Amino acid sequence: MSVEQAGCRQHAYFTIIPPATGRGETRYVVSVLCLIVLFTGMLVQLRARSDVSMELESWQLSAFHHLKGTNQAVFSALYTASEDVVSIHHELGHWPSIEELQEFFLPPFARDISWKQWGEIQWNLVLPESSGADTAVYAGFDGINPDQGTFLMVFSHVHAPSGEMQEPTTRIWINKNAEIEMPVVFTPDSLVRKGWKQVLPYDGKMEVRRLKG
Amino acid sequence: MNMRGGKIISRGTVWCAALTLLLCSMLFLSAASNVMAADKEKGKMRVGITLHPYFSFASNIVGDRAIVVPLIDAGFNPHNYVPKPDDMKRIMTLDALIVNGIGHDEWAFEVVEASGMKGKLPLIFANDGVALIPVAGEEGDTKIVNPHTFIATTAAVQQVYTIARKLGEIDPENAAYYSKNARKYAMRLRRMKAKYMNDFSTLDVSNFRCATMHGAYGYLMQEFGLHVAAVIEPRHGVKPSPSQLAHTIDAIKNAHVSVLFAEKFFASKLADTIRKSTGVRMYSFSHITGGEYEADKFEREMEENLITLRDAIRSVTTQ
Repeated sequence: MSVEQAGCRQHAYFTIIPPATGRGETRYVVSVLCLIVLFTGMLVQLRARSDVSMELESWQLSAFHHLKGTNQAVFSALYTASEDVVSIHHELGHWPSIEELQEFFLPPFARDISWKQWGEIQWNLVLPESSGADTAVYAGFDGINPDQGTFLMVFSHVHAPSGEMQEPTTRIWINKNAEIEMPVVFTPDSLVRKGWKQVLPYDGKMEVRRLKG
Repeated sequence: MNMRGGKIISRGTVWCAALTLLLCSMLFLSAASNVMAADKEKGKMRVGITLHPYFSFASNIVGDRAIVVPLIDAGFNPHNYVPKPDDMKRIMTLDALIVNGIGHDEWAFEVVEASGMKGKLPLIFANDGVALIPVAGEEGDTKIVNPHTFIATTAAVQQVYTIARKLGEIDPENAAYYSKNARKYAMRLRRMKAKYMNDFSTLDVSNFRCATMHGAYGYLMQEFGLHVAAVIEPRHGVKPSPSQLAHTIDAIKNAHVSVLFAEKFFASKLADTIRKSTGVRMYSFSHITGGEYEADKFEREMEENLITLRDAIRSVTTQ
């Protein structure tokens, strides 16, 4: 490298040598830092777990996200009870009455302290006559807590030609309008038109999918 | 001294021979019983579990038709467990593994992966059918899933049904037996809860406000219709920062909390500090994740928790 190329100025009797500024090194260090930040940022993005979220239709609510206190507790109890109700139905050969469910200490039907705390909801078994699929409805009205919802747990099932009941579809609905009347038709379309919202759980399966992909 | 055929046998020799014979027969009997036990266990499904409540659930479901194997030895805390080589050996002998899967036994997945059993060992996610709730006391829009579904009877029943169903799929020959046992066990749990529900029925709990040291008791409180106003620890065993603590103490005072539930066998100076600053009464719950693995552990420790809850409510409503 010649003297001129190195940034030095040649005079007749002396040579001016500029001090080393380290500008080049600074640029290298900044570039490396930027690369590190970019790389770690990408890693964080790749390894980040998404928020607890659910895809819902406009007529659906998430028990985890949209219900609180009493409504969330009643839904959890209904959701667990649905499996028992089906088993008891298999055993007894008919849809169990509210009194029969109370004999099994089954919340939210059993009249215990939680029933009181959850607004003393009045439960009724409704067996509407319908063509096609048979329907059984456990309807909970007249809760006394503020912001208390009205609940419907609807079992729809078909009987095989042999008469044996096939596994029913269970849907749980809530209506936050305290003045709502008992529906006559319990099909999803009809309930949605009357302002009922289907409540879906955020269950362990969804959480495992979120955590482990 | 005995004399036989001209030979002299000392009394000591006779005793020695008798003792040796006794020892040999004991060893033989022990070996025989081991062989019998091994034969008896042959052909039985081996079901692994990660947490103590799952040992109780699985044992009550399978009865004597399968063997329930804890993945880690008794005495280790599953919250901060670090997998050991023995766990890998053990996992390779299993036919299925029951896991919490939503944040309480992440180490189990490390063991499954490290042992090369990923994709080979059927995993039973006990919480598949449980409607999860957020950790109580959380503020704002951020909701964190509460993984402590095993400290409550309603959520336990749901898990028992899921475990029984999945075990039945793996072992169809015994599916009906597992399902029947699950129903019987669920009924026992409900009956236990009902017993304490009756005790509570005469108490006025409308103004009962509580806080918990740990976020583990949300499901238990929910099934009794009780409200948790604040949770002290951000995570299990993690102490809050001074500003978080000051905020929590304010929250406890503002919400008129009268009882603080801490964790049994987990002494905390922090709980004492809060008690002194707020005047709350202290009670302790079991987390059901310590000690020996026993089939009746869940029922026993849940009953203790229900008694604690009853006493706490009584102390406030009758004061």
